[in-house]
Amino acid sequence: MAEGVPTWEEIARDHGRFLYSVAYRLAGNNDDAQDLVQESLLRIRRGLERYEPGSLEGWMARIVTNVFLDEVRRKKRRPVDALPDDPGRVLPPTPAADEVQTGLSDEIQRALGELPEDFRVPVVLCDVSDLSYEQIAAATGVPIGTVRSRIHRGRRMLRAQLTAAGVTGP
Amino acid sequence: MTDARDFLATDMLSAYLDGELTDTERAEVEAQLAESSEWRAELDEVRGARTMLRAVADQDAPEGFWDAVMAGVVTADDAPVEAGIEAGVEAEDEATAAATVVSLDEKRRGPGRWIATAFAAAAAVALAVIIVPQRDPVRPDVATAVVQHGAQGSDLGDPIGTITPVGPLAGFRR
Amino acid sequence: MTHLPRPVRNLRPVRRALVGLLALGALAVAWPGGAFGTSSPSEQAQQLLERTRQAAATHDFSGLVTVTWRDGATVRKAQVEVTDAGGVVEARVNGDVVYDSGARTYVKDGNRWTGIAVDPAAGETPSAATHWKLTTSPGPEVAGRSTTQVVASRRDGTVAQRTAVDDATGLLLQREVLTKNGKVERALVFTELDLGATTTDVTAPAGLHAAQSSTITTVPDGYVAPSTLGDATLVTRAKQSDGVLLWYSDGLFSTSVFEQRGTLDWTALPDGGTDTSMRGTTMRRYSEPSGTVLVWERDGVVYTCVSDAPADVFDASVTALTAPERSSLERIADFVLGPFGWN
Repeated sequence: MAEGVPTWEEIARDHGRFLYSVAYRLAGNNDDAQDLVQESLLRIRRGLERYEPGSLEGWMARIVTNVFLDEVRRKKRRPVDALPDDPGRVLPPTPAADEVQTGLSDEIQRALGELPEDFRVPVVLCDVSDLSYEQIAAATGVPIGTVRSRIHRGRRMLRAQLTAAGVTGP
Repeated sequence: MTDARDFLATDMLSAYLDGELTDTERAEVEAQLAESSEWRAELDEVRGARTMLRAVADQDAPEGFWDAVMAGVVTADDAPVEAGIEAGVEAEDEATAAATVVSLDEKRRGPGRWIATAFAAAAAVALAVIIVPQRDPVRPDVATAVVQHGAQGSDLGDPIGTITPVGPLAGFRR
Repeated sequence: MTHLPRPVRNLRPVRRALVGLLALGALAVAWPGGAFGTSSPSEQAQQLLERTRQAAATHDFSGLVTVTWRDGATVRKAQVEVTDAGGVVEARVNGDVVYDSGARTYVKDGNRWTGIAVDPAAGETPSAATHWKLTTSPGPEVAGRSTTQVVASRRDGTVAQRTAVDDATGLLLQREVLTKNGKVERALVFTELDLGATTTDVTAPAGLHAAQSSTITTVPDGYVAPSTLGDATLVTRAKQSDGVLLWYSDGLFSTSVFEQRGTLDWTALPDGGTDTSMRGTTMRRYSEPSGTVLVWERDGVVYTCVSDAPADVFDASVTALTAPERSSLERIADFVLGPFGWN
């Protein structure tokens, strides 16, 4: 591996929180977050051959976004029937492990889940992974102006959802 | 009186909070905020959402999440098991039984390796791994590919292509 | 700049000949003595290349061709008998035959016949002048005949291909493809040429099953079909029973990409290739008289690529197929973001 390029295991270890956070906020539950992180790590592993040291987090966030959007598109093409119980699942759906902020975190996740993906993705990329508008535009393939308006509308929707649920702030 | 500021869109407010405006734009927004209570109200709205989301942004995955993910990534491409297996954690229920899987310990630095052992055991107890299905072996007919290339070239107007049938015969023993 | 109409080669030979004659008529006045009027050298070169295409459809001939090609450090040679009867080109080596009658090509190797159906063009091949610098000059004497030479150069000035076109008939008499270092990578040259009516005495057995191939406009999921391969653009896509066939052209050279989903059985590949590695991917390379072949697998797809381009052009063009599986979003991101500092 070239100098300065981490292995995928190092990425998973050093940036696990980041990967999980973005995935969880995009997907909304741990099962899907798990698939999302796993698929992202696979792509990260493949992509590392061509990776040149740069903004690692931006690069990873892009990959997670693409995996997520691919999955959204895939689901849209095929209507999902009621999923049978998957005996392969180890983890029952669990809320985030951080007990102290469970309440707010859950409320926010619920509210985020109500947003259409087109709005949820840019808001998450901005506030959870802290990408610039330009990076978000690149990751999602829409013009910067669209990113800006979607973040704004997404945040307003989020706030409206939270207010309706009685959540007033940290 | 038409003011240029009338044509400012409120979505500039989010960009304002995120530091994505030019100096000129920022000045315009601040001027607008000074004048318009609607703008101020909308700023509070989005600032609240932004602050809240950023407050809970970073979080840890639940227990067992990384074990399953790492195991899945390693087995997905049949990567060889690395030497120096570190004994893992026992499991209580059958869902996480048998395989010794190293937990992802974020505090650990240094050259640790993430290894999922006992692939057979993992398969036997159906851990949450995504196994890539075995694909059919492909035996490309290289010689025909060469002839087809020549045929395609000559058919699609390649000026030299009419002569390419000459090529394949002298080459491959089919 | 006027372009000659491109002939549709899947017309039956007789009709093709008529189309060719009509098109040639436009050149006939201008041709002798190189009186091209006010066309630029590049236009003259393109007209010459167009002429070679027409010529094979309109002139019957029989001849001997010596084919040489570089295989690693070795230069190999073979002699092929070629006849062109009514637009059907036939080539023989030691009793094996390839004959190309437009929409169908037949190969007889030993006792085995194979038929290959080629679907008519889905797209236009680009003009050779887009990516190549073309010039003409008086050419060498080939098979006792005088020729004009068309030279195609890369952007850095090195010659990629030299073709010698018969002054009298417009037939292609010699073609050399050169490496960046100026060595001849592949060449064919007529050593004997007899013009005049010929007949072909080879017929494929009746009922020969030709591999099915049908043109498609979009490539199914799971296959990789970049719209460009280096300077070559994707001209036609076809679905075959066991995968997808893409054909790229830069106006001068062309590349076929066969894709099949699955895992490559390396042991089933023919002998005589060399293993090479490109951007971390292992590939099997074959150097053939008509082109170079590269076989590899990546992300669940087995690629078999054939190209008559010089090695440097082919290798550069294969980049698009050896990148890790990337969605269009990732590619846009790559382009826009580029390298950032470590955070």
